[in-house]
Amino acid sequence: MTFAVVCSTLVLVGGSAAAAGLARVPVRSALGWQWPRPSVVLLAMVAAVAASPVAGLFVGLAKSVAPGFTLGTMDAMNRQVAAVPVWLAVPVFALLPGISEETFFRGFLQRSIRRPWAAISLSTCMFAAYHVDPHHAAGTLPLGLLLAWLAWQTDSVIVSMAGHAAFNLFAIVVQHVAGHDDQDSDLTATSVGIAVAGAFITVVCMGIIARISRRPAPGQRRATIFAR
Amino acid sequence: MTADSTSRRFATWQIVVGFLVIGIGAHAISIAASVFAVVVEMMRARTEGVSLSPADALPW
Repeated sequence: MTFAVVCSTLVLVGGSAAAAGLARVPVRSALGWQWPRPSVVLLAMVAAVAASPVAGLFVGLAKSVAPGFTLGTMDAMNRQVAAVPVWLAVPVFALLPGISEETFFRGFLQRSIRRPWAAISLSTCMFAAYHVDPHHAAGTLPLGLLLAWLAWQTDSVIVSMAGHAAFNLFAIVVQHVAGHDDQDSDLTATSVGIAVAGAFITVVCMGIIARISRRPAPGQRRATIFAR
Repeated sequence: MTADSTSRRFATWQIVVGFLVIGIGAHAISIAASVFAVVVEMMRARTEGVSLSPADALPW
């Protein structure tokens, strides 16, 4: 599994960087590898972790609506996360997916689309589809939407990388400490209440990020691999 | 090198093709790496005189 994650990371990051290289645009700015303010990164991490119960609610909803509509990859991945030590699980299941998937979905894909809401919704849907398993994909929808907005609002993929890594890190910690997946929640009044509280914290963080981060002016051109 | 002077940027269909190639490629290489890991595990078990099925050799 570790080998597989490393290989797919190389393909996603290498492929995205190669595309920028072929387009003869500066790779870092084309893929959004721009350093943001540390406070924005911290807020993005809090927002993503607070969105975990919402993702759990989506998984629970998918499980209750279509219990058999799964490939079982979430359970297999959770077993793998639980089987490896934390020092290995964190880089393999939190850092590498954060770097590679954000570079590909928010760097390569999202930054190639001109209209913001088309870019955000398409990268969110493709990010969910990438996770293949319908239950897993349902859980990645709210996270993908948040990460897509973060990358767009801050004009930096590093912000969404931090959020993605924090989200996965939280799942790993819960898996190791509590012995179950944090997104393995039933649809109870408690889980809905926790999800609403989490969503509130996420929205507050998003509001602060929107206030303190500054998007490039509409007319300001930036490097992109897309011939807009 | 600036973004506008020498760039050779892509059309929409090229972005779509690139996206599919990289996305499907990442999945394909993950599957290939997992199969490779299973084969290695089965061969290692065989050298120890144990016969493992592919399902038992999966890393979970």
